[in-house]
Amino acid sequence: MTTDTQHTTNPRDDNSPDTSPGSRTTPPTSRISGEPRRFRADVVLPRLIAPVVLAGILLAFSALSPVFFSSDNLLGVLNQAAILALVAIGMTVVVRAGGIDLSIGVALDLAALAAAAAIAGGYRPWVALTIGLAFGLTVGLVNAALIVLLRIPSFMATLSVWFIGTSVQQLLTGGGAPIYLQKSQVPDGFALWGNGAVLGIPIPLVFAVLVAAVVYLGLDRTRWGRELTATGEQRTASRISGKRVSWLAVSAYLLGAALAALGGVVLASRTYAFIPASGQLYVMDAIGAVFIGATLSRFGRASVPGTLVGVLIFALLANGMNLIGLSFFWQGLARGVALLVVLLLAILLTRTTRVPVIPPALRRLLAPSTARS
Amino acid sequence: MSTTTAVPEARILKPLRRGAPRWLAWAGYGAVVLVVLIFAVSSSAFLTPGNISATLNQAAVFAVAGFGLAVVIITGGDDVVNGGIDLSVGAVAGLAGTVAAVAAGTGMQPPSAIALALLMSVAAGIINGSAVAIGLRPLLATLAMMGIAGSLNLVISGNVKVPLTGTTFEWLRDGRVAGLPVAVAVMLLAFAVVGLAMTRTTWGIRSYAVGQNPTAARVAGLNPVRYVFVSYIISAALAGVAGILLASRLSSAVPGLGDQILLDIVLVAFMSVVFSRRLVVSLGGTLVAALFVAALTNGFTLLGVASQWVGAAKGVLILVVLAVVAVRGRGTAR
Amino acid sequence: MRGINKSFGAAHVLRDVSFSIHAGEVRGLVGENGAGKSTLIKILTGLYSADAGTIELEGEPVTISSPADAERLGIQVIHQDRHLAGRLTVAEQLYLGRSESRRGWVSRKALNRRAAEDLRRTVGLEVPPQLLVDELTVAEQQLLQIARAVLAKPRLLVLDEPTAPLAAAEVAQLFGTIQQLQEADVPIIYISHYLQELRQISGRVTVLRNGSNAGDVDLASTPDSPDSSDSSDSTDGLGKVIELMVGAAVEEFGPPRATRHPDRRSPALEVTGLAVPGALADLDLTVHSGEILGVTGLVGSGVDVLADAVTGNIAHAGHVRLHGQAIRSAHAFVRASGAYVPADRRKNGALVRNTVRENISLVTLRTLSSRLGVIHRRKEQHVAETFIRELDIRPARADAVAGSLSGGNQQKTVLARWLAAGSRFLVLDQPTSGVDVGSRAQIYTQISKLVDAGAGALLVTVDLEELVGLADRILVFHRGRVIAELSRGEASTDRILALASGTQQQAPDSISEPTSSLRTITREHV
Repeated sequence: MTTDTQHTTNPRDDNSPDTSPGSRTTPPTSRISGEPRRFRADVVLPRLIAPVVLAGILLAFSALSPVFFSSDNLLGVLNQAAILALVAIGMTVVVRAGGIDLSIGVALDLAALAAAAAIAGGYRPWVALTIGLAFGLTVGLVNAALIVLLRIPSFMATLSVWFIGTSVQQLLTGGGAPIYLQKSQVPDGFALWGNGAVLGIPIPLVFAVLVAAVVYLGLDRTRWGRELTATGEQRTASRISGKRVSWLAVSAYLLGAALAALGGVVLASRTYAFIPASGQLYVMDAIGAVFIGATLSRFGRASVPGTLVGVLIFALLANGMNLIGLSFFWQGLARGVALLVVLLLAILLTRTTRVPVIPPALRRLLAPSTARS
Repeated sequence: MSTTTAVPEARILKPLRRGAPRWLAWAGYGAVVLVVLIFAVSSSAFLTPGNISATLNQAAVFAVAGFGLAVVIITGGDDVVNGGIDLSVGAVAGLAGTVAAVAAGTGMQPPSAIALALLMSVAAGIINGSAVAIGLRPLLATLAMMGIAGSLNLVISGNVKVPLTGTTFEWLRDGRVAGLPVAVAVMLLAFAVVGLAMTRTTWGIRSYAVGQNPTAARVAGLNPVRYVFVSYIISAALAGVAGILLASRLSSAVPGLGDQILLDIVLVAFMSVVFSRRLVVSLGGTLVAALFVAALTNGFTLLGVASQWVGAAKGVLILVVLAVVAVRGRGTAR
Repeated sequence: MRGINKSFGAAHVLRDVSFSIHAGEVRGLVGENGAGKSTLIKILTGLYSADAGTIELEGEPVTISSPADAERLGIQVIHQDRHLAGRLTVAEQLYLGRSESRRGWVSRKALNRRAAEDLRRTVGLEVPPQLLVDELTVAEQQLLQIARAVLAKPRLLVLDEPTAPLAAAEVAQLFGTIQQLQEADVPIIYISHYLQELRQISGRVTVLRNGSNAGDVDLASTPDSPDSSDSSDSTDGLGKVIELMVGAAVEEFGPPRATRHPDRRSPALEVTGLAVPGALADLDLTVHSGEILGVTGLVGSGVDVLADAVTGNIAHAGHVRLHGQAIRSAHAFVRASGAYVPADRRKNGALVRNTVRENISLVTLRTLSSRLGVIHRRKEQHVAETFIRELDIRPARADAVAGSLSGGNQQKTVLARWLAAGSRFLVLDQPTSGVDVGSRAQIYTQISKLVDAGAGALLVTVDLEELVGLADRILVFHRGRVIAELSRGEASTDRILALASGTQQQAPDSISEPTSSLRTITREHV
């Protein structure tokens, strides 16, 4: 047996533990790392799809609209995408921890509501920010309690919180009336978060970039991130290794909610208002962005850079469609199609370029079960 | 003989391990009866024939769509992130209503309009099913379809309410079959057909097997993809039926309604677990859950509780259900 | 049945492997992990397809491109992992995909009646057929699977490690069933790591090594000692099998060692009043520093939850102390310098979607990262490389994905994780199930080394040779209680077997002559 077969053993193929050799004929090797890896089309190509789609969108709209590829417009797009980016990064953390958070929109809404109400009540900006984050964190705390203490599956728990949070919103706003802030009465310190700029860069964008950098490093370079990932993928194995799996999960839901809450405060600041249920619009986009981003990883693992690619795809698509004069009616269609195309291509490329050990028809059969294991 | 003695002895330990606390199996039904009793006592209008009929009518939409979602969950497995889920049911139902209304509005015969709407739904189901068959996670495939169907709904309706007129639709709203409102009759028919198919036919049992353990099904010589694919078509078709029932009841197709009913449909399908011995999603459980949720909504309205509390109540309800399931699961799982 | 012949060129997993089996023959198929046994079987059952080569069944060339094809041809396989749908009833699972019904319409009453009858007749299993598969014990599930295969009236039966989850008595039942099938002229391919079993039931053994035929060994020609299961020494036939498997003779139980003298005054693990509902009742035990306490018992004796309980991974009554610290959670166990190698390696042991480096450093992360929690990549790499070398993990790459490693190498990776953390107490649950002979020896060596250096160890295993070879003291469990404690000198595999099955005198007979006892059972019930 050659060492080549060891390299070509596809790590994703969980069904064939035995095909990978513990070959006894290989001489004891002194090199432990740094052996060259061969280019593997089935591993590399699927991971390129999302970036290629992103580039394609850039090119297409640049050709269709003269305004699109201007620095002003692109900066505007990034600024627009900042809130979605914050929410989606929060979702990334939760998905990395093996869950999903449908209530992230509620966290955003309640934070925006609290911040707007605080400003309307004449409180200072930092108080508004604190109250906003506190409301958001409350949502995260409820999620964490339901999922960790009661062991309810995250999808169902956060779905319930979505229900309840929506009602709470309506109750707090007297049946869902928006709160509009008088621009003149909003302190600059608050308005700045959504509308200010540092060195020409919009502050929401600064927030998003900082948060992205910190969360990226946290997930990929620290003990917490490593343990969170392990817990998300194999909870029992992590627990056996002495990890505090419950606390790790709690930290993920809290961080997810906190980031959404930050997004909510920025949204309230940007719009000088709280409009009920505006957070819900972000939930599905955030999930879509996270999973588009997950195609960038060979394990289908959610990551911050991947998520940002997903966010950009959605943001550029929306902006470009606006510029070429398509009504917002079409946006859901475009987003849905983009999501389907990226994810399906990723799967198909993984398949078709693979060394045909397994016939295609059978691989199709194998796919759902391997995806679940 | 050693073996003859050893085997029965090993069995003595079993009863301790097997089964959940028995009272829990009935807790779900108990809660239903309790809530109905409370409403019956607090509001004299609750148990009147007219109100019961209205409640059943309300339940019909969620139940019919819920049956479809239940089939998807049964066949795809109930792990939500990777298992079977159809998030597009609400949007597809909304789209079906709009297509029927717009088609009827252009002068198409109501039956043809309905056929067109159902065709549209099935097409959505085929896309969902194909994407999942290729290997996409159901959550994501149907999330995309939810966006697409919702968007199409806006495009077709122009984001305005489309009135639904025509004798067929009026019959769907007001007519009766064997003394039952048409919507209720449709619900019972759908329940009978899909319910029997899932529990009494090989196709149904195999669907359960596929959902439980696709590898086991494959090893047993089944083709899991076929069952999964079909489940999404069934789901979309039933969502279409539900959408037409809903539009008929409201005499118009209301854009954006799809997103609202999605949560109720998901609630109803997952709640069915509480009414099942095997702790799995079931058709019968879905029916009971739909009736329960409708009764709850209706009862709250009769008691004059503000509508925003209904959402909160549903949220709490689903949590109670899930907590019960979690406790019960701890009893059986080892 | 004429024979099956396969060959491979491109895939290198199997190279020109030929295999043939006659009607009524039980043929052993052995080889280390990665030798290609499972791949060969997967090709035979249509899970994989061969690059080259032909398969003939009863003289007819056949193509098998899906499990459905295999099923149609009458090839039945008991896979190593039990492929069962947990929430189906026993009856539904028994007939799944076959004859659940007439014309698609299922009558549950008839189905259940038929299932009860069929289960009793084929494998002597008596469970209510309306139970859910999840509610069965692991052994019952395995028997259910075997019944399913037998009912299909197979033209070829493949058993891949069928006895791994079974206790002695159930193994005896299984062997009886195999004998019956053999008499009905069904050819049976029997894959096992338990070489002693092969001697009992199979005439010839085909050995694979590195994807090629290493040779066939005729076990029948070697004299069969009357109590074949009692010694860990290999007789000539089995010795030859092992030789062919690894290419050289292997010292199985680590280097020879002097008798240990554990420090009786320093208990490492103290368990008092431990109880797990339905599994363990009021258990007291102590493991001293510098000793290996071996624990065994049938499935259902409670030993299967013991490891989870003492490591704080399942709820229990009673007290567990490790190195003087109370253990109430898995976290506390690890903090008290405990190590746990769980039985289900792919699920609970190795992190299959992480690299070997990440696996090895998992427990040690705290010392490998700065105060802020940032991991020092270089230190981590160094630790990983050290232990890859120490345990000879192959491929010897720190960035190899753990899920792509063979079972033995995965297990070594899990062990490395704890060695890296400097654990001073080991809890090992079936540490070598599904592990090839070579890796097994390395694992034994590491365990012995650690214990000789003063660590304590609790070894839970159904592998009696491993138990007798490694443990200083042995506890035998029966129905949730300890029924015997044996010292190293008084332990032998047949004595343990007798104790574990609860019938001290007759059990050895039932193992060496499994068929007679099973026949008795089936006759009684039919």
